[in-house]
Amino acid sequence: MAHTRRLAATASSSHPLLRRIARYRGVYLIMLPGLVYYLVYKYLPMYGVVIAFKDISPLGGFREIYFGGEWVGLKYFERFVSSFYFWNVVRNTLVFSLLRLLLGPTLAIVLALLLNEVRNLVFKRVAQTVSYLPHFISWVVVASLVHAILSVDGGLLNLIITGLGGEAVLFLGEPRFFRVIALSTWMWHGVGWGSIIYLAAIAGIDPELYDAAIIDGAGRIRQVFAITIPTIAPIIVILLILRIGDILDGGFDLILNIYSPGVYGVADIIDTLVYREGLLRVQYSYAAAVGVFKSVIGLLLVVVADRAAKQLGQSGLW
Amino acid sequence: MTSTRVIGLALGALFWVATTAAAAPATEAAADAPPEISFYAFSLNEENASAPESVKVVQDWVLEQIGVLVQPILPPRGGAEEKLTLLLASGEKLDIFSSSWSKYRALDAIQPINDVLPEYGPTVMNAYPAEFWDLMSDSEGNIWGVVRDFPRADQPLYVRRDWAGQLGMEVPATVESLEAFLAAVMEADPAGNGTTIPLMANLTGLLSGVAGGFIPGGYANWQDADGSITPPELHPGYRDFLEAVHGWFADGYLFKEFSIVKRADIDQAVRDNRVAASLAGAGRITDRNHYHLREAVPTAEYVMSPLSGPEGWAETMRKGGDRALMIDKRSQHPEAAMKFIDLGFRWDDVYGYLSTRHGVQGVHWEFTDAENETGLTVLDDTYKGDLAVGVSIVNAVRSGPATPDRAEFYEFLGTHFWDFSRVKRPFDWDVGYDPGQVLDNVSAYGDINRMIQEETVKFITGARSLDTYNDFVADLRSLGIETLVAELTRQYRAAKGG
Repeated sequence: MAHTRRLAATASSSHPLLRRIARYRGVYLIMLPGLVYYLVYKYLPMYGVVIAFKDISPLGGFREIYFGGEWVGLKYFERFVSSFYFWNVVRNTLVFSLLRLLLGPTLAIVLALLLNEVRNLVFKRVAQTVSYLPHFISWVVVASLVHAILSVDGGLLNLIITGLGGEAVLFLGEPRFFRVIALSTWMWHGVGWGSIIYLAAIAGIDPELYDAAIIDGAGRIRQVFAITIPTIAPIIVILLILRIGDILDGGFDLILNIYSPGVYGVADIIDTLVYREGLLRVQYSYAAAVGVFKSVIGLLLVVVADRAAKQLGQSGLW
Repeated sequence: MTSTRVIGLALGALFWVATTAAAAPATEAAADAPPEISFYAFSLNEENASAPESVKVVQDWVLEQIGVLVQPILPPRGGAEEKLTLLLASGEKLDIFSSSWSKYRALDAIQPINDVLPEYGPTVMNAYPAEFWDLMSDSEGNIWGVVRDFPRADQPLYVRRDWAGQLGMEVPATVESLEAFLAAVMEADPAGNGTTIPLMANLTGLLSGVAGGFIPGGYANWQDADGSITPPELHPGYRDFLEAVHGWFADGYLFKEFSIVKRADIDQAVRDNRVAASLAGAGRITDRNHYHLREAVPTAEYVMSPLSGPEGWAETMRKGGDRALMIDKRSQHPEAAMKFIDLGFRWDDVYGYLSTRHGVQGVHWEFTDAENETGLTVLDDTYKGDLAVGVSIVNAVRSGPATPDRAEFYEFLGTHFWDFSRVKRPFDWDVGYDPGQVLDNVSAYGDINRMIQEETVKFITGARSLDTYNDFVADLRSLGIETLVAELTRQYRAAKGG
């Protein structure tokens, strides 16, 4: 103990930063595992992006990645953007991303507002639990459920359709249905979980604001639009900005599990293309090039969204 | 002693222990210790692993037979190829693994087996005809692996003979009579309540089991007028095939989800007594499903019916791919690896095939008929085949099925799997094209594949009109399929020494 005090005293006399670290060493210690995690798993691998600009032997290990291979410039970027299906996969990715970006938070906010209005605590907790549950189901299982509901052969929906005298519909094999199916599944899977943060933000609103509004004669709906939404707007904006960074992530897990050649035209996204061409064929440089492409676009969009949010008077990320 | 010194001493001690421990195996390893090799166990996955003590029994048996200690590494369920690539990329040494030899040769990850094969693998070498070894060889004569993906005829048509009889029809053997049978079945609905599936099929079954009836050389590359090796989709007969199958789809004969149907769903439909005809691979009928169907419906009877179309046999021999058992380039014991592979094929002098696959005789199994060495009675099922390295159709047939519900499947393997008299044999069946080189030299290869798959399904379902078939061909040409033709032609000529 005495020794620790001596160390702290020495540090404090030499440098203000070390003095602060010594004083709050407990807090820094708590931060350490997270810091190490980000260093090891997020920052150190970043140098690996060099393989996007190299021809390497994928089985050469770290030495090959960092010191081996031949520099090939933008070869793999050119290959990606000159692909016949480049615009198709970019369009599909953007369509899915934008729809998820708009619908996901909107439905999550609506659910949070509805849950916030529930006064029966038991019902509220049950409703919350039920809405969170889908988030914990793996995408493979979700895909099986989708198949069980929509299959032309014994699927629940088709049983109802044929039971009513209709003809079974090939939901999973026809392009016109695919986007609706994918979006509905994403919403079912994620809306409950996504509402948690909004529910927490709503819970943090000062009750006196509502009391004042009631005295001023505001009804429930008016309170939502005049108090709740403006108060949680900064949270909504920040989450939106963060999600914009993922705009080129089209929802790989679900799509890979439910798409098929017949619906490639509306279902193939950048990540499924990379999976087929980059990973299954062990073309890591190609996969890395597409990854860098996505990251750069994502970063640019985040910066633009951040500026736009500030221009509109909202708080940004930085 | 201050804390700094204590920490310093502790770190020093730790460093000493680490360095001496690392050096220990090199200095202490006995010169006569058996070579140890690792084997990526492709037959299993982590979820159906054996009991460790059972694996030890088989490991000891292998050690006793060939003096090699084999450590199995099990892949995760559904991610075997990804894990294999990651293991190799991370520097893990896997002495024996199974995948595409051309892919791993291009990655410089494997070694040729020309030297070790004759000396340590005589059983394996004699297990296959010379043409099969050609599929494992490059143009310079290097043999890169032991064949795993055999040329085969495994996509025949199966038909419910009892239902045909009830309808007063013969078992169909031509495309025309098949269409008549499907129409009659649909009308009669023998399964009841509209649940009859006239034709269960998947895309592979349709291509390998039907397209040959419309394309003279089968669903395979063909040589055009100037001798170029051309994919089947550019043959005029491919359009005729699509038109016929689209007709089946439009008329409701063909199972609507043929492009996404899963194996388990086909199995269930067969067992539920709903499928009148099947083009989904022989295993979907013969491997357990027919047996269990007959338990519930004793009169049910599927028969194999070789189909022909306007251009002859409808089924095309499936070319062996380039899937192989390979030896890691970094393996320190290639001779031990080959000895182990060879053991996995042996039967006459030692039950290597059976022991690596089913466990040790007397511990895990006994012959049901000891005199004829057929049939296996399981004594202990805790060994699942972690060391099953030998993939031998001949031995599988010889050992027979472990359970009666697989008897028909084994009979198919023994009688029809390599019967190429009822199918079309691609003219280039013995040429193993190198996908790595194709990928390097045909930049649009992925796009071409996607277009063929996507548009084929669309033509069949009617999502795209066959009136636009010429546009499809034009799109393939604009995509650069001629580059693919040139690459295939170059490889074909190199393989044939032309």
